[in-house]
Amino acid sequence: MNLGFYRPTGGFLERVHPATKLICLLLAFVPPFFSRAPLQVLPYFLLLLTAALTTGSGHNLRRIGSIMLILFCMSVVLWSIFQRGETRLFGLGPIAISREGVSYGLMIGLRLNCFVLAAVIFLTSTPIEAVAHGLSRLGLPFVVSFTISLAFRLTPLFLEAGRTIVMAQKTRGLDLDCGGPIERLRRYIPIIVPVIVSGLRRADQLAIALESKGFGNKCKRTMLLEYPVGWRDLILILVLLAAIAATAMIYFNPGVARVLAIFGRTHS
Amino acid sequence: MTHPLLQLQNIHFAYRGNPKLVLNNVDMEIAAGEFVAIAGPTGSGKSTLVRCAMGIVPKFFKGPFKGDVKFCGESIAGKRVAELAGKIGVLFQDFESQLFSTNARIECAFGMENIGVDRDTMTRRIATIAKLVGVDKLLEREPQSLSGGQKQRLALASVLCLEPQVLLCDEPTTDLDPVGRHELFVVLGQLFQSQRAVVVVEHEMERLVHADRVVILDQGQIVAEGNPSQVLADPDFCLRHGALAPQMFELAARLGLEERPATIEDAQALLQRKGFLPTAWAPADAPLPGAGGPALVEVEDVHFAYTAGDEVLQGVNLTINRGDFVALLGQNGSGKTTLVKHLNALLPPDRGRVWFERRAVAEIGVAKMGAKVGFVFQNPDHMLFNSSVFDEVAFSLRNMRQPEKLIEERVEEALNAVGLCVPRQLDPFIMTKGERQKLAVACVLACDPEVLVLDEPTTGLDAAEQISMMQLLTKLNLAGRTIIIVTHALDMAAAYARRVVLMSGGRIIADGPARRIFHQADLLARANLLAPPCVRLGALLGIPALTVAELAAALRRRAP
Repeated sequence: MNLGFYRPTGGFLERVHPATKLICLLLAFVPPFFSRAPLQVLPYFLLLLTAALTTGSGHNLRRIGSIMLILFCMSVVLWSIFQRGETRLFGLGPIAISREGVSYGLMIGLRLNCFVLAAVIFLTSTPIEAVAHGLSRLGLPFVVSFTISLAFRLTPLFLEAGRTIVMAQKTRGLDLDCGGPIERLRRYIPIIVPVIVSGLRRADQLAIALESKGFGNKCKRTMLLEYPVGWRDLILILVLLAAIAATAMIYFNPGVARVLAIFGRTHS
Repeated sequence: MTHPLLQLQNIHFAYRGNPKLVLNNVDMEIAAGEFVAIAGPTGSGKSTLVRCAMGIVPKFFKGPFKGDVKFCGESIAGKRVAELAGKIGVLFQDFESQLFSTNARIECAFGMENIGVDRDTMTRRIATIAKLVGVDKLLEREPQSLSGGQKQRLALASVLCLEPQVLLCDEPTTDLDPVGRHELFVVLGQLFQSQRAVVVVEHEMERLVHADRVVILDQGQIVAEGNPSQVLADPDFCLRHGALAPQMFELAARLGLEERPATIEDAQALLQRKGFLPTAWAPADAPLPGAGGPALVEVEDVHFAYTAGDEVLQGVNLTINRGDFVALLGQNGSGKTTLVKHLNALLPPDRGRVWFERRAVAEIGVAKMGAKVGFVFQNPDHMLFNSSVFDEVAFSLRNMRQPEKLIEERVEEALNAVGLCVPRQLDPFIMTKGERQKLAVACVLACDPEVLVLDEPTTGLDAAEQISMMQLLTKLNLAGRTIIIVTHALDMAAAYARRVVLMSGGRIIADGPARRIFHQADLLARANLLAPPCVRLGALLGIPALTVAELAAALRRRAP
């Protein structure tokens, strides 16, 4: 049972240097900002989706698919309500739904999912240890980068402890699904308290365990795994720069942008 | 002048906020090539001693500290714990806290990377140590996906890769099956032969008869120290101080012999020399309950996999009768815990059915099954969350919306049944592990379940607490309760369980009376288990004994 996101495949992305991947992750967040309408983000979203499916992220996408869907739907609903527009589609009492509002919601929904997709691709192809290495190669002290990566390492452990605790309390007759909202919240106390207690104990132990393995030792740190920089790093950066250039061109070219904005411009 | 590797001089320590001295004037020296075992009851200061030896106390655990710890004659006071890595290695009781990587190979490398070992040396050491400890096939796995025993081995491998001159192990075998324990001590034996020192904190002294020195700690003081055959000679003395004497020592003591044989072969030779012969002793076991009666729990061709294609249970069939006392035995990863989690619908089978009194447990549901099949988890802290003992035990009953008067009665009954004599308003989190374990049993008992399932009920308990827990289960069983335990403590299973179910590779390979199963060495070997020494010696002598007491009762000295 793999509790984290990383899936070793030995593929193209896995062999890119982690520092390059971190830079590319930041670059991957840029193109969605060059958009005024959903159709302007859609090609980039599809590009990322294809990349995710062809680089072994399919399993992780299935795991978080529902979250992505909720993110998209919430974005469409909320922005449709709150974003005013000139082209009224229909009204629900004081709420007027406009074409621009729906379009903006769709665009933001796709944009957010682009960020999620990029992060999933990164985490699927990068072990947490490589993330720490990449961060330190980008200039962060190793202690800081390791601590950041610890958050990723510990999340699955807390989830696992949480699962066991839920099981333990269910056998004691705890039903998390009955009662009103306040009652339901109250019913989570038998889960939350042991999770926090075990988390605190773990945190205490962790600091000791880390030092006992020489963490924070003043000597120069070595690495078991090698992360060579090569042509793959260059290709990945070029692909992302091309994506940024393409989306920027569309964004700054009023003619093309107008054609793509078939749902109407949402903002200038 | 050569110094001992490690010296603890006049150590006094009390944890902040508690004036009671956990260590009170402890003096100890560990020489190169020495294998030292430390035993003692819960709270005697064993773990604190290990922490002091590496400077973790007083660096991480604050409190008044007096005395000095020296490594190779040099005081470690003022040194960071990280600076000692590579010189002193420690395997903690909570070994899971020592695993923080997403890959077992990287886990082994982590410590070496921190102290600047070059890549080639790392690769070489990992290959050697992983093979030695038996994790060489697991190096590409995610540590958190391993079983408890595999994790414990990996944690040890990661410490050994640092090549420490002194290795401190705080209860290193809690999650290992008997064969795993044996293998681990073989590894530790090889280490101390290589001029390194090994210090092991352990409750079970069976594997430590070959130690150079045994130290018994009680109330923060050394109460006995010396050769195992001297220190562990008196089983009552051992028990009083939290340790179980090796079974062959206990047998010799019961037979009134002066010598203390370390192995079964030594014991056999000693008995022959002293003229002991088997008598016509025959056990008077009551038949197993339920023959012909209606079954209480039925498991019917159950298959289960946590991840597709990797079945943990492969067509398990099992019938539990009312009044059974079953020990579910098998090596790490054989599917024992997964199987018992099906009995109260905690896990739904992929295929097959589980019935309770002819009703499908899936239809009854987890919440209601809790009142019929009570489940005590291995770690009591996964269950406890209330701020008082009373509220903790009352929790399930309140979930069942029982009247407060009945709740009070049931709480008292449950606490009395487990023999927990503590104030009802006491906070469970300041109780000892043994007390918390008993409280967890009381929490489940309060619902008056017909079946009580306990996952490793004796792990982490000292000898007296282990016996107390097993006696409690026997008492509950005699009062009509059906008991199922999942355990690696084969001596406890042999002494207390009436029926044994053997599992291997997700299948049940044997099921029957404890005496029959324990005396079929080939069956146990198939499950990668080894019977307790008294059973094996009994088999050599033709005595079907399950305990040292039975074996001693079946031996008589030939008239001179």
